[in-house]
Amino acid sequence: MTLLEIDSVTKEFDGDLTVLRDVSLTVRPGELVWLRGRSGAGKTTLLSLAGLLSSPTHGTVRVDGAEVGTASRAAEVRRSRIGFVFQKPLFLPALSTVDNVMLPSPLPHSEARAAADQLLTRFDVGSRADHRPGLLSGGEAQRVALARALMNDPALVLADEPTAGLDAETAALVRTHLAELAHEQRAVVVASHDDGFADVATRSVTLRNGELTDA
Amino acid sequence: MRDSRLIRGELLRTLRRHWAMPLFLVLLVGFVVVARGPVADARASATALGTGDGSLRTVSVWANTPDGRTPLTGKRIREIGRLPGVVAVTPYDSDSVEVYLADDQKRDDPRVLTLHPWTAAHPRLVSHGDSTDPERLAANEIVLADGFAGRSARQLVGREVVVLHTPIERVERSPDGGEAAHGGEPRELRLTIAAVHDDSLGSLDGPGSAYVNPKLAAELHAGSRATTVERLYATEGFDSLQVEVGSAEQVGDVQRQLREAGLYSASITSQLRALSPALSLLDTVGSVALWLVVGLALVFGLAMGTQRVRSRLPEIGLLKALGFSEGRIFRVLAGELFAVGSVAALLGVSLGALVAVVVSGAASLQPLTMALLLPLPGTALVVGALIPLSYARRLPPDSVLRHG
Repeated sequence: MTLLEIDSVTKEFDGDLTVLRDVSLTVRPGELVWLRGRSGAGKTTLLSLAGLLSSPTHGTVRVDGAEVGTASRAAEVRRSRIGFVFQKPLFLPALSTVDNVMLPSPLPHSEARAAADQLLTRFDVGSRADHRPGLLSGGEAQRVALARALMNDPALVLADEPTAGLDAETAALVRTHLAELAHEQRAVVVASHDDGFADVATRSVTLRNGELTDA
Repeated sequence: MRDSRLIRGELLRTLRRHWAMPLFLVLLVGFVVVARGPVADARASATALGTGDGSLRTVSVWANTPDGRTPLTGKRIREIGRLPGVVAVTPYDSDSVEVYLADDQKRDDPRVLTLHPWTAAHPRLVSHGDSTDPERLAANEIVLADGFAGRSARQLVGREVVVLHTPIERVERSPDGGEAAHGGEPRELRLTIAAVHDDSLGSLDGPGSAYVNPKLAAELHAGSRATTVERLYATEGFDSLQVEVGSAEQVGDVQRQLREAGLYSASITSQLRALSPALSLLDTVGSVALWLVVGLALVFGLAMGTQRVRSRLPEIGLLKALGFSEGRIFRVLAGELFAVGSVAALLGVSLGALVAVVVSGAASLQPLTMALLLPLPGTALVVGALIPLSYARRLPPDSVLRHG
């Protein structure tokens, strides 16, 4: 069963800048795909397409077998099936850490709070639940972002440079957590320069000049 | 997560960190609450005076001759009554009378009051009781000043007073060519206090004034002049009159006709005309302040909306990435602005009401204005921010994420 299917996708910006050329990629549940490539190779663009944050110029992107047409349908799929971890952990500064984790949850407040607490504890940041996100360290912030990515119990987790700027020990911890997600039969795609992913990834692919190799 | 938590979180953050514009709205709304009360009072009073109430429709008239004593007889009164615009003419001479409460033990220590006829000019002076219509003041009723004989208005209305007077039954020519009044025995006239007027309003007739039915006033005045009412009207005449005019607008015209007839006249309308620029200015300030709230809230809405969208692009992108629909993002952002405006309005109304009560008293509060002000800034903020908010919700999620 294929969870993410990117088929012959080309992405152009302003009609003259081609970032991705005829890229195809499939990811199955339980796989951790390490997406490599130099800066500007198109990794983030490919993750945006995979996460339905943008649409391809040519080609198709299917999540769970369904091609997503409209923006509202894409939002619905993101809400229910996809979890994101960004390079720079983004939080709403007006909310507490746990409230930020609860953001994607469709559950009633008390159930969402219990689930969020459980996830924060799993990633060893339970004690920071009621703190403002601005008070979190880089490693804590990335682990809180991991907790938030799992809040809607996604089948597909997309992570963009999740270990960038972290010390070696914390980066290893984040890699381990992402590997655990794959073991839970989620499909995980990580775009990263971090060679440490070689140890935990089930597969690696490389983007060069907008084209995918090693797929 | 419920949108209300998002809105509440952002509201508290705004009030903590970006409080300049909300504070300005608070002060502006507060100013409107404070300013609108007295202005609305003044306008309502002016309207009431000019229409329902008779003060502005009343002209005081005095005889105007070189010897200073050309009496206003019945014939003259009828002539004045026929002038265009004149509704009623009441002889308006005052008399000092001795009055005491009927059930008061101190009958040997009566108060001396100045008695006047009750006319259309007086009902607005009533502070307690229901005698607001000059027609309703019966022959056995009286209107006294609040505080008469050391009693409050509540203690006075409905009680009886005794007025001491000396009626004259007839005047006959004596054999020596002079005139002799018959009667002249002091009598006690029992009157019920129908209403109490507030002396502090600056009554038309000075402190210690009391009012009775015009016919009774004429009888008492005749007694004090040692004559009869018939003779007063026929030959002796009155010193002054109060002329009731159909509307405040006609007062000037009636005064002109009275001058042409050789009579002095004065009216509150002509006095108020001198004040009208000040009233208009106050009125304008009150109205402008209300529209200023709307206008500034619209501008603030545009500014805050633009600033928020610009500074929160990564947050908006995050919400999109987490699956928030365009409509939901718009609702959250608009809800935040509405909440900020509403809290500012609530604080402003409360602050304004507090100041208004302290400065002008609770009566100056305008519940309608305050109710209108509560949703106004929030709505205006949202309307002002419509363009940036619409722009924000339509941004593709990946482009807003790249701004982070």
